[in-house]
Amino acid sequence: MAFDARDDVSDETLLILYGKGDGRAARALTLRLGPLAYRVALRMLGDRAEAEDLTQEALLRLWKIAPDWRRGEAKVSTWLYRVVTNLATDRLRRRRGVGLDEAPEVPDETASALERMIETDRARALDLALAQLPARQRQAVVLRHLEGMSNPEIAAAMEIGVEAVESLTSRGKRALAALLRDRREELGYGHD
Amino acid sequence: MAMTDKRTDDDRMLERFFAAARDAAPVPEPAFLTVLMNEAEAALPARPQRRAAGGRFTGWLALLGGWKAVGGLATAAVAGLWIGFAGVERLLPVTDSAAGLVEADAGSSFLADSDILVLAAQ
Repeated sequence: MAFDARDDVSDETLLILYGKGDGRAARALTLRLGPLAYRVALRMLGDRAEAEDLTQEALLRLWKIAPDWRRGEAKVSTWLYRVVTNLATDRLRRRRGVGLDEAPEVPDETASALERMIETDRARALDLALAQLPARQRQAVVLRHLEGMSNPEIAAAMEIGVEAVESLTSRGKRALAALLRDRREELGYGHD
Repeated sequence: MAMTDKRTDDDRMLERFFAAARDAAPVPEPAFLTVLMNEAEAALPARPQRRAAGGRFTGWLALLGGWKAVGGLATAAVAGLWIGFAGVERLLPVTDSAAGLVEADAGSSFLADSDILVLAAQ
C-alpha cells in the first residue's frame, strides 16, 4: 500500500505504522504534518530559520513518541499543535523576556513597517500585527482563525478551558483590530 | 458609532485579513521537507525481528528444547510403540526384576520369539 499526504489513512494509523518501523508512513506523515508544524511555527515566531528549527524539534518529538502512541487517546494534529505552540511560546519568552500575557511595546520601526506592509500585502500585514500580540493571544488567534480549529480543539492544544480560549481570541482580535483599524482606509476596507 | 456596529465592522475587517493570510499560508521549502523526511526515516524504530532462518520447523524445534530433547522424545515414542505391539506382560519380568519384586529369571525374555529371530537375522 502506498501512502501520500492526501490519502484517507488517518494520521493516527500512520503514526502507529511509523511506530512499527514503516518507512512509507514516515514519508506520508512528514508530508502531512511537516507543513502544518512549519506554518504554525512561522506564524508564531515570524522567522523562517527559527520556524524550521522548531518544526524539526517538534517532529522529532513526534517520532520519538510514536511507538508508545495509544489509539484514541488524542488527535495527532492536536498533539502536534500543542508541541509547536508550546515550543514557540518558550522561544518567544526567551527572546523577549516578558510574560506570556504581557503586550510588548511596539517599536516605532515596526509600526512604520506595518504601515508599509498594509499597503502592499494584507497577509504580511496581519503577520506583522500578530507578532505584536502577547504569545498566548497570538497562539489562540492563529489556531482559531488561520488554522480553523474549534474552540474545544484549541483548549485541548493549549491545555486550558474553552472559556479561556474564547477570552484569549476575543482579546487578541480586539488588539489586532486596534493595530489594523487606522490603516484600513488605505486598503479600501473603510466602506465595507 | 454604536459599540456593536464597531465590533461587527472590526470583525468584517479582520476576517478579510484572516482570509488573505489563509490564502497566503506559508509553505516549507522542498529542500526542507526532504530534510524532515530524512530525519523521520533516521528516527524510524526498528521493525520487529522476523522468525529465525529455518522457518516454522526450526521454531517448533526450539520450542521443544532443541535436537537433543526431540531425540529423547523420539526414542520414548518408538519404545512406547514397541511395548504396545509386544504386549505389556512380556515386559513384566524386566520391570519386576528391576523393582526387586521377583528374582530375575535368566531364561526369561521380554522379546517375542519372532523379535528374537529378527534380531538374530540382523
